[in-house]
Amino acid sequence: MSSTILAVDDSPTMRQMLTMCLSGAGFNVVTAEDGADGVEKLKEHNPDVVITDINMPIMDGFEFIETVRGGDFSTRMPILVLTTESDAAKKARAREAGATGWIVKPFVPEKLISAVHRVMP
Amino acid sequence: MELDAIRDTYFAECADQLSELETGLFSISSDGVDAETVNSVFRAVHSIKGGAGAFALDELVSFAHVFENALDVIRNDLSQSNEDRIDLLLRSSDVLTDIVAAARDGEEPIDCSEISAELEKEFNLQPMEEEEEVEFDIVPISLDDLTIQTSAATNKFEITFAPHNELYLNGHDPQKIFRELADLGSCEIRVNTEKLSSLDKFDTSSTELSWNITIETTSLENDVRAVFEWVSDCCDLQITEDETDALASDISIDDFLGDLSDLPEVEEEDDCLGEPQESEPLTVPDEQPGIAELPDLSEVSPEPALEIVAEEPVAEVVELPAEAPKEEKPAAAKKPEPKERARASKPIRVDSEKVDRLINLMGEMVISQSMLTLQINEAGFGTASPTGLALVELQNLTREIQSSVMSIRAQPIKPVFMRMSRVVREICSATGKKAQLLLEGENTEVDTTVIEGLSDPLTHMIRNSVDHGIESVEKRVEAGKPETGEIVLSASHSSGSIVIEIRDDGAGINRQKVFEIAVEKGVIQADSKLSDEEIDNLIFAPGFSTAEEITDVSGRGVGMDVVRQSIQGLGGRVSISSTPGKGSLFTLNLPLTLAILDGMLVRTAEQMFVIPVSSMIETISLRQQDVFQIGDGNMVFKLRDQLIPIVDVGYELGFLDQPHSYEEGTILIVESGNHDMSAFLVDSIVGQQQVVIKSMESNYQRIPSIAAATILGNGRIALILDIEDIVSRKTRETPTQPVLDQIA
Repeated sequence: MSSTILAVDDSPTMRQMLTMCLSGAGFNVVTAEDGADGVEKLKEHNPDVVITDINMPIMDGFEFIETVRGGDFSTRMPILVLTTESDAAKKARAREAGATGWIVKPFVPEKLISAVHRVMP
Repeated sequence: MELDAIRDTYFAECADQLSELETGLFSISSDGVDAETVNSVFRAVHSIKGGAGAFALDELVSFAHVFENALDVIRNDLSQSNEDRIDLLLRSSDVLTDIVAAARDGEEPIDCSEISAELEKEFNLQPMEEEEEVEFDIVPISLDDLTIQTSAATNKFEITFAPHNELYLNGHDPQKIFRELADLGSCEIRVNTEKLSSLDKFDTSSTELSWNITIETTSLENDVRAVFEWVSDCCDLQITEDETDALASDISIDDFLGDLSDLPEVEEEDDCLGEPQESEPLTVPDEQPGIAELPDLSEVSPEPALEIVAEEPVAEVVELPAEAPKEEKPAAAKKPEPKERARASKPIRVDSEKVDRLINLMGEMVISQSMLTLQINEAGFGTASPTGLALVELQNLTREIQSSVMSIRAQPIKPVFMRMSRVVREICSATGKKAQLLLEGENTEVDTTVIEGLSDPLTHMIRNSVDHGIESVEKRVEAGKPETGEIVLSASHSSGSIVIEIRDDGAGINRQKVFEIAVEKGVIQADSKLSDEEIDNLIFAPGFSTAEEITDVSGRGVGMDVVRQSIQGLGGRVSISSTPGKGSLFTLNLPLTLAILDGMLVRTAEQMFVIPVSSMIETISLRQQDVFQIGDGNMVFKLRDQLIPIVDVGYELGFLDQPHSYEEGTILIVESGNHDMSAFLVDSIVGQQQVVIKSMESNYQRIPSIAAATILGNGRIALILDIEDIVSRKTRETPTQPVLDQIA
């Protein structure tokens, strides 16, 4: 069975791009529109890897990562942050929240896929 | 092909984001700045930029980047917002809209260097930074001690690596890291198991394994370090170049970051910058076991400091106070944002074709239901019988479904109205007049197609209201009015249609002048006797322009007649009423939807036809003495003092071999978009009813004179007449090919 990746991004374009890129690489892709939706989808699908945007309405990426790393979840699945923001403080905050890695948009499909492979359990 | 679909999604999303951006900026400019709105505006630009990168739309990316940075300044400190800056942001949003449109249509990128420079200057932005990317490949290796030989190595590094618990919790796997290291050169990896507890004392939350790695590689220290980039703050890491004492590279920052999590970013950087000299030099022998046991390996790592210094220009550090609130933002964002969270229902994006199909099916259902009603009534079931009651139930449900389905296409008219605020601002600055726009009923829902079609005519009308309606400041003061003129744009529902009003408190229409110009332009005869209302409506006549000289504001080669045509194209009507000295009122009546038409059902040649009510002016019983034959054999109808060409509907469309006797029948006076009138002759009028529009093109083929078809309650098809086509043909008098031949 192929690995499942949860992609959390508020932009439908990004969701579609990620889906195309990752399913093209043989992954099973589930998408969510914001952090809160991501939490729901995570419960439902138990993905192998999560890729999330930071700047999202309702629940942003930091809060999403904190939620899935803490409390009832305490999941250890790799969570990659995919965002246009690249400043060091944001990165530190994402790490602090429990992010596994950081990829700067716009992503190059091959690099995204190798980043996924890099962390895929 | 799939990429094309994503492209479409992207540009559809852009449209949404741009409207979000515009709405947000307006609300900031009119209601003042608030964090939530600035955030949503920022996010809009951010999303546009994100997608643009994926499609290599470089111009778009770079402009969006500058725009985003400018917004970030305000996002980080709301007091940075002022009127000039918001005005610049509004103009930037215009430019962004144009760039997106150009990208979508594959046109030459728009030159935005000027406004970019303006943004950079106004917001003191730094030039664009190069963003780093991650790059790596994978070579499978085993977790056990191993040595992989690669090409000639020039550097040798000793690495001690002791993961903290967080490393595992954050989803990292040391094995993956070793694979990457092995890819850089030949590695010797030794695991330290000395600290490993016996199984009975084993604590899963403690980290007892550490590794010593020797790597010989052609890569530089930075490349080796890059492998640990994602884990540098959740492990004790020491990388030393062999035979040197490069102790500055010791890393143990988990405690440091732990304390730091609640501190503003400023302190982190300050600490980092100050720390390297103070950090206690540590000599950890390469082979020393149990490195994981040394939590105090170093209190603060210089590594992040070096990273920050390297990544960011010094100027950034100077600006830090302005950025300080940045850290507070995410915390504030964590709290439920009432406005956003309260929105329990989320919009979904649906292909409009699917909605159209649903509306179509709904139309079919309405028809089936009325057929059923007919059958049941004919069969003699009373309304109190179980069948009758069930029928009433079905009718209620159908009505409800109909309105629900219609509401899917409906959207608040707000975005279009918001756009008008900018139009007013622009014209005010171009003409030096003062005017403010007030919106009423901007949440009124209107069919999306109607909304799309409204933007241009409304823009023109608003321009017109400021340019011609509102007086100059001096004149207003003279007339005892407030300096700032007021334009009220309102929308409301009224008996199955949308009413949009544009009311200004300007000078009103100068009827004398309008009359003179109309005579001069040959629109009317000098001796015409017109009512005030008729004079007012002359401004809609083709080629009419009241401006003494064509201003660059409203005179763009189109007049109010174009506005009227656009509105009629949407199945609506526009009228004006004006009080000299007090102002003017334009009223637009628009259908709720383009899927359903308010039709007049008429009978002729044993056929049923539908004439759109929006085109009708009046109906009159035919009297023989009002019909005349003019020179070329055409029949005309005399309406008061006007001669109007008669269109014998049945004969014209080829359903009758002989023209109508003109002895009896009904005349419907209809008017086309450009004011040509025709007198449609039919046998009788059946009644007015709403009909579901069925396209001929998509179901059969385009037929001249026929706009569409509909299905009546009795299951019969009625053709909806294309008034524009018939009237203009009648005016031009080109021979027609009978419709019947084409259908048969």
